[in-house]
Amino acid sequence: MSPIETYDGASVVFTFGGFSVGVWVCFVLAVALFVGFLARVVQHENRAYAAMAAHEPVEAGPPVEAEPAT
Amino acid sequence: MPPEVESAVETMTAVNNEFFYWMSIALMILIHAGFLAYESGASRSKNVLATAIKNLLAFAVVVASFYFVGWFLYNAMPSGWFAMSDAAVAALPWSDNMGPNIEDPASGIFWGAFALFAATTGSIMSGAVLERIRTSAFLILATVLGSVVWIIGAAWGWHPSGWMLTQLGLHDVGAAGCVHLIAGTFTLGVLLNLGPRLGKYAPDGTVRDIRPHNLPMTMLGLMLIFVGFFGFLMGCVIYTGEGFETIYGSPTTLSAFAFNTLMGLAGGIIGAYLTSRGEPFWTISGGLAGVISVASGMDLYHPALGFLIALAGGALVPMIGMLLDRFKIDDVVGAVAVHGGAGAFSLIMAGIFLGGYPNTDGNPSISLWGQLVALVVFAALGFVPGYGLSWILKKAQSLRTPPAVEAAGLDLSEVPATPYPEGTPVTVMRNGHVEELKV
Repeated sequence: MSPIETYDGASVVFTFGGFSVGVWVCFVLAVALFVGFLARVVQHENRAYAAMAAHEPVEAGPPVEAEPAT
Repeated sequence: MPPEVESAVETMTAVNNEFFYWMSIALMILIHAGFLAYESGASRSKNVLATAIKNLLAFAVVVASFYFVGWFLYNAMPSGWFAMSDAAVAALPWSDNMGPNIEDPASGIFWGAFALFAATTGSIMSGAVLERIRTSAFLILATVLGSVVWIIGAAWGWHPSGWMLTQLGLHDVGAAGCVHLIAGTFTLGVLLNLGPRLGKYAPDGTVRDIRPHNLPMTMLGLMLIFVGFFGFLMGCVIYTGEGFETIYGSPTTLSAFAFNTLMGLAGGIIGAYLTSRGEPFWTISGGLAGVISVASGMDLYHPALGFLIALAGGALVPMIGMLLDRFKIDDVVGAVAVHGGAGAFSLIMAGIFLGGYPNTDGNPSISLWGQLVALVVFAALGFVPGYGLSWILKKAQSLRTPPAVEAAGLDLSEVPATPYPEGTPVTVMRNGHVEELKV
């Protein structure tokens, strides 16, 4: 993954180097995960709202002091 | 100068440049700490954690998406539309410059400073939509505002080659237009579709006071934002090694910015205190409005004039807030008034008081006409996508939380934690108010 063999005269030192397949693959994966994260937030909200409607909220309320959290 | 001395000076200049913007970035993160405290305090106790999480996630999505697309837009669009210049190619996320590069000590640090500007712009909307927007919808809107919309405005009006400078002679050194006005009008567009919080307005239009659950935290938040603004304004100047320049290439000093930032803060607080009759929330928001009011011309105003402009700007924002209430636009933290109102005011004041000042590199002189045209363009650039995208989300029933969830509180439904495990403070509502919230 190193684009260099020595630091003498080196400029680009990041993994794979610029304009490389490795960088493009990482970039596409990063964007896909970003979009996937937003989709996951939507999913979490939908579940949370349904649970709320069913009177089973995500947060059941604070435990009594010193009581172990469930 | 001997070659070894010249080389040492160049190295020191590069190091100073990096350190200068490194500090700017660090200070700007305080703006986000401030927003978090400000908005958490402004929300009711049933929405505290959802509010804080929303702020954290906004920071994360805007910084990441600004790397994906924002920096490229800034470098590709100064002429008005896309142009694949050398700077634009260098700003592509897979270029040699957009990662660790021993020969390039500038790209990362400038990208970082702009990423924080972007996160700040995205977060300006955050407080206005508190307590009823879906987190997912907010994150989508913040991404578009922070990584697309404002940065196009910045390319046009806050860039050494932007068409607003080269065609209009725009002067907006502190980004009142591309950051604050755009964020304010984008937010206004979102609020029109989002609607007010349940119970905010009585059926006859009477405004009900929904109080912040922790006003001292809100005031502390704004003080943190004030500190962060010094980082923001550091990022508004170009360090050259021989001094500082504005983003438009005209020479300036940090002393100039210090004069007018502090006088702006002072004037804004006093102005808002006067017109809000000492209401704490508006009084401290007036400080922010004061700095924004002088932002466009803070490199050139005499500090006494800066104080007067800021006092007027600070005095204006509570009135804009009351005007929005008349139209049942529920802006929880006054973001439209403070950022949109003061941003527009700032551009106009620069046109009035700086008209005739020269620009560099043969660009037109500053003029009121140029400032007004830029104002209209910035306002439209913010409002149209804000309204349009939130309208689409609304039609997809993805903009707002269900009424039952809003009434119960977002913390209870979305956040697997509790902010005040010992049960204090609680959200207190009058009986009539509670009846309306039963859904």
